[in-house]
Amino acid sequence: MPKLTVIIPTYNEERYLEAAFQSVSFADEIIVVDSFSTDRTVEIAEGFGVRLLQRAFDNFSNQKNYALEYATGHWVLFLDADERVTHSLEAEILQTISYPKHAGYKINFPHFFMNRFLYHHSDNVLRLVKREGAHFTGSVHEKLHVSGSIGQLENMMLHFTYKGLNHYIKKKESYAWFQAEQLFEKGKKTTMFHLFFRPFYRFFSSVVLRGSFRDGIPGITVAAIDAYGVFQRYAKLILLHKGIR
Amino acid sequence: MASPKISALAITLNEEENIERYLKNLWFADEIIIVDSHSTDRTVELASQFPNVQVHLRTFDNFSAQKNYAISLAKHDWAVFFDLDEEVTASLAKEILEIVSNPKKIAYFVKRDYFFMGKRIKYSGFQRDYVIRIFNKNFCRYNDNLVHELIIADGPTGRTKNSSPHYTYKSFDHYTGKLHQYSALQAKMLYEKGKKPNLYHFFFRPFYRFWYQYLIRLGIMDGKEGFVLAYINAFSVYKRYVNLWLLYRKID
Repeated sequence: MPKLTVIIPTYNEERYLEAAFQSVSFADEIIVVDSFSTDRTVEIAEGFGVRLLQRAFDNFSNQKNYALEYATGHWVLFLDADERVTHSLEAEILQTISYPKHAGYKINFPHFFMNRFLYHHSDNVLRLVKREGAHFTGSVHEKLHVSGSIGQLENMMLHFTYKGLNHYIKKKESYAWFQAEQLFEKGKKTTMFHLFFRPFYRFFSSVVLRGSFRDGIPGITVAAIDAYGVFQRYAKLILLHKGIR
Repeated sequence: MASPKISALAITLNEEENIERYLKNLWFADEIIIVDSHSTDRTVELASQFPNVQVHLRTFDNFSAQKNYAISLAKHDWAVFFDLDEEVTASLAKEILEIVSNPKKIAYFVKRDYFFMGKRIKYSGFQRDYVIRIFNKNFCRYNDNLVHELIIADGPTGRTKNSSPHYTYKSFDHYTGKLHQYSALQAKMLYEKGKKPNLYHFFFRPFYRFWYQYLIRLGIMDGKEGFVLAYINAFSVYKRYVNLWLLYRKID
């Protein structure tokens, strides 16, 4: 059986970490790369007997590449502290790395929102890779590369991101500042087209094209909030040009 | 003939940025009563430096109760009750003195000039943003709405000629943060009334709010800022019903 390493980047994850460890206890090696948490994260990791690395955070790519240097498994699974590997996903991972057809596998993440999994609002992300040749690039949105072809796992990963409606909206609102600043640096200006069409298109593509209406009110709400985030990006771009917040 | 005396009233929570300007503009009042919801900044300290200011501390429950408490402390018949982000200009102050010395009505509406994203919003529903700010306390009380509390005036009302600049906008996030609070409070009010959200609320009400404000109330004349304002208000309406939906399911 090929050896499997799980890498978990952390910063103040005391609420989630123990359950994350338990969900990947089938792995041969667990590496936590911590950005100097100020809560009990380190204590919990040490109590579990995992390999603990500490590194000042600059971006996710560097953080995860650093952990990769210490990994000894043939295969590596990247996990966030608020994500859980189900038993069926565990079985599929173990089977897949025993008879691999590809150098990496994508896993589907249904979006957990308003205490419900939104199966029509999922993200498909490369997470299980052969260690040899695997590395991250990109300082904002890190991208994982492998040397070889990429396959798809069937079972889904559970991701407990939801911390209340306001928390979710506030995250979108602060991310909108970040995106507005990027547009501002490129010299972009907000037009009526941006304000009218961009949020509408985001909502439409999510609700109709991706079918998130099938997830009921939570599915439509997550689409409405995503569209609101797009809208705020352009509203905040107006403010940046005026020099006010 | 000495003109009747005036009590100026206000409720505060962490208003250290506004309090001095606000109190200076109330030079015409015979007493100033501040009901503070235990501010954690320098509001109380700054207010206490003014000679005719009394500060009373009261734990906040809702706007109406807080404001009615302030009214109950007033010594004089005539009261002015502005928000801290509203400016009582010199000409408005003069007009107030004239009104009080010869009152024809029991309460007076003041038009507010509204600013958003650094721009004076002239349409978008703010054409007629009149609020009662000057009244005879023997005939007026705030109603029991948890948000958007209104003065109920028991008698004829008038309007002042001068308007009051309304600086409610501090930053975009501050503004939307306030809307989030309102939508949560409004959801709570609907929940207590036993109202259940249905598809009409989710799909019709937000769109109606947007088009009502943007076209019927002429937000389109306020440019991009008019669009932004209509959008965030429509989103807030949607969020009100999502909050209500969550309340019935005991989800945060």
